[in-house]
Formats: sequence, C-alpha cells, structure tokens
Amino acid sequence: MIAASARNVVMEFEGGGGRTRVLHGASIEVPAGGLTLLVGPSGCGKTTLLSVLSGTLAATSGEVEVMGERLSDLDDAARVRLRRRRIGFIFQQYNLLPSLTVAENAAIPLVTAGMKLSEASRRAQPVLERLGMAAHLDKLPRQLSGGQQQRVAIARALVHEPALVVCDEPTAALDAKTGHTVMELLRAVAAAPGRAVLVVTHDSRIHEFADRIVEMEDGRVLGERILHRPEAN
Amino acid sequence: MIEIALRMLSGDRTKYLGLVSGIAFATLLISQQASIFVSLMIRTANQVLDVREVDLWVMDPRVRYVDEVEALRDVDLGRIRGVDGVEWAVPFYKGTAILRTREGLINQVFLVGVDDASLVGAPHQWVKGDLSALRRPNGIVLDLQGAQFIWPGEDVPLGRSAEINDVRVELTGIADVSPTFITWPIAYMKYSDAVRLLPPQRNVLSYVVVKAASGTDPAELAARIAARTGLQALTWDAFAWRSVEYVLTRTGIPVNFGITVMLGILVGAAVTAQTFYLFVFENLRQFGALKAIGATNRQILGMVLAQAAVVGALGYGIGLGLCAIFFEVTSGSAALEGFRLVPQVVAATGGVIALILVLSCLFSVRRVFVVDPAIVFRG
Repeated sequence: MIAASARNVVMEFEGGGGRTRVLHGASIEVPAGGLTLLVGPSGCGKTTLLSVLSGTLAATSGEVEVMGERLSDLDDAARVRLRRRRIGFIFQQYNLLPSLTVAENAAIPLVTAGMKLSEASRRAQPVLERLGMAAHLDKLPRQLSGGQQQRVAIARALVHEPALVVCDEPTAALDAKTGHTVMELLRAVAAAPGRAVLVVTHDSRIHEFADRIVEMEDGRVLGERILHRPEAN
Repeated sequence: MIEIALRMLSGDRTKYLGLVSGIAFATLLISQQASIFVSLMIRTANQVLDVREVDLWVMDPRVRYVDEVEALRDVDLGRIRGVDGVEWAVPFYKGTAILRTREGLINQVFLVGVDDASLVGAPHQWVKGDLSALRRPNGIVLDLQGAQFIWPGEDVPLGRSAEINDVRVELTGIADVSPTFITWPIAYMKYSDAVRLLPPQRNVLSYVVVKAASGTDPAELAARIAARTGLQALTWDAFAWRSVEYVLTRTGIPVNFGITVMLGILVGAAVTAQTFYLFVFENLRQFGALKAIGATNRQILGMVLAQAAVVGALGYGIGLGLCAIFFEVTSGSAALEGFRLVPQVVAATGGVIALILVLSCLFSVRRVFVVDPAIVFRG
C-alpha cells in the first residue's frame, strides 16, 4: 500500500525578480509499513518535496496523493482536515510551545481537532510513556534535553494515530547517541501496521535505520535503494 | 485552543505585562482626560441644572450662554406671566459683584438673586443655616467652596459681615452647590436685595424662570412665549446644552482635551499594536507549527482574539481603577470639586480600547494568516 506519492511534481517560487524552480518533475512513492529516507545535498529540494507530500505546500504542477486522496482535488479546508487526521509532523527545531507542559504539547493535534486540553493531555500520556517520557509529563520544554524534546515532538506526531509521519531532519540538532535513539524510536513507529514514516535528512549516520532510501539532486529524484523489504501486514 | 492561547500569552511575561500596561495607560489617559472634560462641561451648565424647580428659562434673544446676561425689562415678567400655559414665572438675577471682607480682602463673586416670595433658584443642600437665611435683610448665602476661599483655613461662622458693592451684608447661610465653570464664590440673596446692591442701571432682570402648567408641553410653551414676547425661551435642558455648546465652539478647551485624548488613543494603539505584533511575530513558528498540525485560520484568529480579550480586560480594569483612584484622591480639592469618572466615558473608553485591540489583532494576525505552514520545515 502506498501512503503518499508524488508524480512529476514541479514547484516554483516567486521572488528575486522572477520565478525560481525548486522541483523539476520529482516523483516518489512512500509505501506504508516502512521508514523511507529522503536524502541529498543541501538545497536539492528535499524539504520542499516533504512539504508538498504533507500538504503544507501546494505544488505548481504534478500529482500528489496522500492516503488515496489527490491533494489537487482538495480545497484549503480539506487539506487542513487531512493533515489534522492523517499526518503527523516532526520538525528539526521541535517547535514545542514553551509555556505548555510535555503532556500538553503532545496533546496539541487532539486539541486542534476539538478536544479539551485536559482530556487531550490524558490521552497523550500513554504515548509519552511508551517513548520513555513518563517522568517528565509536567515539565516544560526548557527543562528537557534536546533528545527529550524530540521525543515529545514524536509523541505529538503520533498522538492522533496518523497514517503518515513526516520528519524534517529529526536528528540534526542532536548528538550522535541521542540521534541514534530517536531513529530507533522512529523505526519502531514505522513498524506499526499501515503506517509510513518519511524522513528528510542529510545525516548519513542514520541510513542504517531506513527501509528505503530515496536520493535527490537539483530538484529531481535520482533513484531509490531498498534496504529492507517491509513485511506484509 | 483558547487555553493554549492564554498559556502562550502568560508564558511570555514581558510582553504580557507590556500589553497590559499599554492598555492600562491608554485607558487611564483617555478616561481621566475625557471625564475631566465632561465634568468641566457640566460645570458650565450647573447654574441652570441647579435650578431644578423650573421648566423654562426666558431671556434676551442675544443671550448665548448662562454667563452672558442681557437684562430684560421689568415689564417682560408680566408679559410672560400672561402667556397661556404658564403656571408661574419669577425673576432671577445673575451677575457679578465685588465682595470685600472686613479684613480688606476683595473677591469677585457671582451674585444670584432669587425671587423674594418663592425663593425659586435657592440652594437645596445646606451646610449651615437653611432657606430662611435668604429672608433676612441683606443676608447672603455663600457656597461652601466660596466661603472657604474667601476666609481660608477656618470654619466660617454665620453672622460674619462683609460688603458687596460697598453695601454691608451678613453671612446668614452656607450651602453646598454645584461648582461653576469659573470657580468664583457664589453669593445668593433675595432678588430685591441683590438688585439694590447694583450700580444704577435701567434694566436688571437677567432671566425669568417659568413653570409650565400641568399638561402643558414645556417645548410648546417655550415656542409660545417666544412668539408672544419676542424673547428667547428655552427648556432647562436646551439652555444647559446651549451653555455647553458655547464653550465647545467658542473656546480652545475641547481642542486641548481632544489632543490629550487622541494622544492617549494613539499611544495606546501604537504600544498595543506594536507589542501584539511583536508577540505574534516572535511566535510565528509556533503558529506555523499549529497550522501545519491542523489548526485552521479561524482557530488561530480565535486564539489571538482571546489573548487580546484577556490583556484588554486586565489593562482596561487597571486603567479604570487608577482613574477612579485619581478622582477619589482629588475629591477634596476645590479646583476639582464635582469632577468624577463619568459612566458614559467609562463605556466610551471601553469601546475605544476594544477597537484598538481588534485593530491590533487584525494587524498582527495577518502575518499568521499568510504564513505558509511549511515555514516550520525551514531551518
């Protein structure tokens, strides 16, 4: 099953006195039940392709599908609903809200869906406990290490049980050991039935965690390597 | 989402306090200056408002406000009494005089002469003496602030003598009356005594005050009196407004107060809008993350409005509280007597503050609306 796919995606931005083309007909498939790494040099368009695949950026042309829904057929409100229900986000800078506790931060996707913060926080606790954050539920982000903050971000991405988890450089701000731990967690996340994890990275130390590695250069997908074949679920 | 918004707000304590202080300062400046202005305007009409028994004031057509007196002829009183619908009409003198104390101090005073028989226009609240004080020959009743101004630092006893226009008068009462625009002492006398103190002149009748007969519309009666006598007849509220309007249009006072109130609005708006904008701008990544995760623009707007409502309510409350304290602390000052926090000003200030906050919100939230949720993927 394909969780997300992009076919011949072109992405152009206005600015600098003209239009800049960042993606030149990029195509990718992200299968469910595995961890896909999107790799390539800085500026090759990895993050832009990730943004297009997650529905946070609308492609200039080309076809993008997430969980069987064609994004070009959806209006803004429907894309927001899709992101809210089906996609989990993990950012390089974590983007935790500094005045919310660990449990409250992890609960945000449930709150955006209309749940009360207190109830959503209770629902987020088991997820945090599975990620080893049981002792830190009431702490603020500034009281945590970088690795712990990234675990909270992972919990936030999983709390609403999305089918697709997108991660932008999740280990870039972490030391090697913590990065290793975070990737192990993401690998475990990807093992869940029907779930796909797409990780953008230029950190070659984490290639060992991937099921598939998709390489990009100059706004194009060059090819892919399959390292582990996902087990049929 | 509202709870998250409020936690974001209280989490940034510096800007939270900055926003509350900005709103409080603007509220204080606007409500205090506007209340002083309104109280001052009410003072211009107080001598009309204090004569509560009458429906109409009749005067020379050239009179533009209460302190601008053009005397009527004595026969005009009889002509007015002859108009249908007049229950009664009595003379009312208003002018200025020189009061000299036995110690030789000279004071300019407002001299008010009320009808000998009915005492219509006499004070209602008495500090010393009572209404009978006006019936004593050459007895004067001074307002409390005026008595304290003429004889400062003492509990002025009744029976003290003075001279008005070189005629000996005796203090027979002290009353609590509303302060006037120009804060001279007000000396009340019987009409006949007051006009006897004046230098020789042909006409002395300042106003005729009129009570409409039961069932007669005062405004209609005013029109009838004007048509029959050629004089100017105004209902008490119309005359009070006429006096206020004169000050509004003929002096620079509204401009001065208006500038201060505008400064309060501008400073409040600038501080609030700028701080709010900075607050939103610095949280742009957080808002972007919320949008990426699935928050709608409507939810974001609700969050920003909730933040604005909280800082607005706190700042407005603190500002009004400070303003109320100011008027409470200065309530004993003769210069500010009668000045108070006017309810209409409280409501209008609330409206202005709400407008400032809504505009600040819209100004700030624009950035969030247009921010691409993909911003959070950019380092």
